[in-house]
Amino acid sequence: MIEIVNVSKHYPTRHGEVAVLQDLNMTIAPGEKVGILGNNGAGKSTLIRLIGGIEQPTHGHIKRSMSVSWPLAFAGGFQGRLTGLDNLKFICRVYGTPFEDKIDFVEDFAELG
Amino acid sequence: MQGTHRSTLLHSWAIQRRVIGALLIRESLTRYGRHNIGFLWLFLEPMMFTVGVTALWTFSGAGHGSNLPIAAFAVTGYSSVLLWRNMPGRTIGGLGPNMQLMYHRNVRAIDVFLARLTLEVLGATMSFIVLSSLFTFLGWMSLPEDILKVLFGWFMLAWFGTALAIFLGAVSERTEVIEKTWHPASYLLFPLSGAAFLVDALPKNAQDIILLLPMVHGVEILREGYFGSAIHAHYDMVYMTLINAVLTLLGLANTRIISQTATPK
Repeated sequence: MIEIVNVSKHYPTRHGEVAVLQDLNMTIAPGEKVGILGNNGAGKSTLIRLIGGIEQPTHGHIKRSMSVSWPLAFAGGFQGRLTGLDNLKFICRVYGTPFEDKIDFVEDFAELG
Repeated sequence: MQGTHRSTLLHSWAIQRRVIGALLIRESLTRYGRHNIGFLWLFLEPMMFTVGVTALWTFSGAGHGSNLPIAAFAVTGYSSVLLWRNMPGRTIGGLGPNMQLMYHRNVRAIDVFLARLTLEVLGATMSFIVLSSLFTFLGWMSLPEDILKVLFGWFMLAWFGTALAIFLGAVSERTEVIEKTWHPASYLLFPLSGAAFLVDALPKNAQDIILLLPMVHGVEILREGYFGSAIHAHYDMVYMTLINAVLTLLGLANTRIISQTATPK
C-alpha cells in the first residue's frame, strides 16, 4: 500500500513560493494500475518523485508498506561514469540482493559493458 | 528512512551499511578504475606527498625547534595534515557527481559523504603506517613510545577531519562561498596546524593563540605518543573533543537540511 496523506509540495522560485501539489490524498493498493494525466507543470513528475522518495513533501507524508521502485524512465538512478555492469551491481548492492542471477536477465535485453 | 515499514534502528543501520558499502565500491571504481595499479593509488598518492615533504624538509634543513630526526618529524606532521586537509576537499561539491544515485531513496547525502571520507581515512592511515614502518626499518625513526597515544591522536584527527568535511560539504551545497574559500583557508592553515613545528618551541603568547586550532592538539598528542619524553607536548583533549563534537552536530544538522532540498533533477 502507498498512502499519500495531505501532501503538499512547494518550490521556491524568484517570484515567491509556487505550490505544485496542494493537500493531496490517495491510496494505491498493490497490483493497482494508476495513470496520471495533466498539463505541463501540473505536478505529475513531482508526484512520482515524492512517491519514489527522492524528494520530501513540504507538508504531509507518504507511507509505503510495499516495495516501491525508484522512479524509472527519468534520467536518474545510474552513474554515467560506471559501466552498465557496474551500475547493475551497484543497484543490487543498494537494495541488498545478489547480482549474479540478475546479470543474465539484464543481458537478455541490454548489452552490458 | 522516512516511509518504509517504520523501520527499526537496526534495520536502518543494515540499509545504511549496505548503501555505504556500495558507494565505497562505486567511488573507488570511478576514482581509480581497474587499469594499472588501480586501488593502490588510494595510499600511494598521500605517500608521495609525505615522502616529497620529508625530502624537502630534510634537504632544506627546516628548523622545527627540536632535535628530533627530521624524517620522523615530517612523517608525523604531514600525515596528520593529510587527514584534516584532504577530507573537506572530497566533500565540498561532492554530492554533484552522485546526485543521480540519489534516485534510490536509501542513498542519502550523509552516505555519500561517509563513503568518500572512509576512503580518505583509509588512504591516509595506510600511507602513515607504511611510511612510518619503512622509516623505522631504515633506522630514520624509532618505534613509538606509546602506541595507544599515537592511535588516540590519529583517531582524534580523523574525527576532526570527518566532522569538518561533513560540515563544509553540507554547507557548500547551499553557498558557493565555501568552495571558493576552503582552498586559500586550508593553504594558510597548513603552516599553523602544528605539522611543521612543536608548540613548545613557540613563545608563550603565540602558544595560546595557536592552541585555539583543534588540529594542533591532535598532532601534539600524536607526537608525544611517538617521541614521549623527548618532547614537551601541549594539548587539551577535552577542548579538541568539544570542538569535534560541535562540528559533528553542525555537520549532521546541515546535512539533514540539504537532504530536504538538494535533489536530483
